[in-house]
Amino acid sequence: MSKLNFQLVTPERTVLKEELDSLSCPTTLGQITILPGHIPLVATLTAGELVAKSGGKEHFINVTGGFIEVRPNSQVVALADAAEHHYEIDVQKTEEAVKRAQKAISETKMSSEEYAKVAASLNQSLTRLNIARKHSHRRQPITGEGVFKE
Amino acid sequence: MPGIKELKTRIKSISGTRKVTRAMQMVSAAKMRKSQDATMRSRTYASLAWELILDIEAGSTAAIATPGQDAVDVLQESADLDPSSRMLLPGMTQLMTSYPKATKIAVLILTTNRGMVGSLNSNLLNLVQKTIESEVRWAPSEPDNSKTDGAHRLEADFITYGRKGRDVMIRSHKEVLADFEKFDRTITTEDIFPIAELITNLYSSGKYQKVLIFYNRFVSTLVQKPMVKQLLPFASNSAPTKDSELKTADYLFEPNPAEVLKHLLPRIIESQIYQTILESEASEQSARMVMMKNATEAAGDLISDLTLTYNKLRQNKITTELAEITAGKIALE
Repeated sequence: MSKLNFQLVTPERTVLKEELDSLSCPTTLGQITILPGHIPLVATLTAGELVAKSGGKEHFINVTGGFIEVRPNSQVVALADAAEHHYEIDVQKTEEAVKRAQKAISETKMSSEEYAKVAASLNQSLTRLNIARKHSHRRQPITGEGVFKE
Repeated sequence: MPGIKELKTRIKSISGTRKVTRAMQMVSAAKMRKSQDATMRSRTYASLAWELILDIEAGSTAAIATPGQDAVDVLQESADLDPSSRMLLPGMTQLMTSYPKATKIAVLILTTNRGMVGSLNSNLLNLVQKTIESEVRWAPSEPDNSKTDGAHRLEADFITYGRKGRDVMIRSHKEVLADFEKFDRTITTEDIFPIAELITNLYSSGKYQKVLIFYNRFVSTLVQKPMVKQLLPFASNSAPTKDSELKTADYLFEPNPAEVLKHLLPRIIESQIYQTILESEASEQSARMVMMKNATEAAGDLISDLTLTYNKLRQNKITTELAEITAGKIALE
């Protein structure tokens, strides 16, 4: 069976490079799943969870927007603004970030631009938290630091 | 033969210089490691992003041909009428268009702020000169203006980043559109926005045929290569064969081309500028580190040379003095 030749890169690093059976990712039109043999596609990624399956193994990765390109011959390239594996998410820090953002939204007066910025970061933090909690029972090696620096 | 005292001062001043160059070597070495890391890490992203836009560009010409023969005819017709109106997919922004009739090219030059980088800047500026001369005929200084073909006479406008490039451009009375200050700290993507915006606006105005970036590509600590990159239009100069184009083409856009490209194009331009700046930075620090290392070593050689001469002279002096004393004593006896 043919496989997806997948690469997920951010400006900071290559997060994942693997042969996959299937890939689900959040786009502006909703969650899509890409299987081998998909026609060429370019789509905008939104913040959410990217699930990469290969054999019995699954990768759960948090992405915060970017692009995905499906090339001919099942080559898939995801250009994410930032991405991290679920086990790299620092739950405690993220919880703090959520609290900070919620406090900022409820207490301070902001211009609509600032509001959008805070709301977007709150949204991202909540997504990360969800992903981290959902998969917290899975044991994964803890590797160094995450991509995010608050 | 210099005197003993002169030698002593020279040795002292050279060791002073050596201290300075050694300190600068240390500083550059630390900065070098950081900037090399940053460059290597984001290289994959930049090159993949670049491939993506080339794929789309290659596909776009074919995409309009797929709906049916009529579309091909329409495209053919419009192409015959006016090659500059190569509007392709619906929603393709001005950035995806090429302007073969424009009379100018914009050139972004990435140089260093300070010297002591060997031939890094001069190599780059030589490349600029050479490329521009082959691309451009200087309209004002061209003596046989009448002879030059109007359609091919291009003017170059410069955008500089880094003090050295700006100084050279101003000294040689070139048209400098804008100068962006180069920061000594590590750049962030936010620092790129104004440059990207300027370039985008320039190109969208339709007055520019091309946008070129000149930068030093970081190859290794010892090797940096001056390079030119054509940022806009995206299409590479080599035209791919029609057949392969039709096969690889036909990208599906979600939600639609306009929406995707609206986000994608600025991001790609930014990532390319960001990457070239990182490359330049890594090249600069590497070149400076190597230069300072050479300087420190040369100073060391010089010092040991001079010390040898100094010791010889001193020994000579002592020997002469001793001989004189002995001679005096013998004369007294």
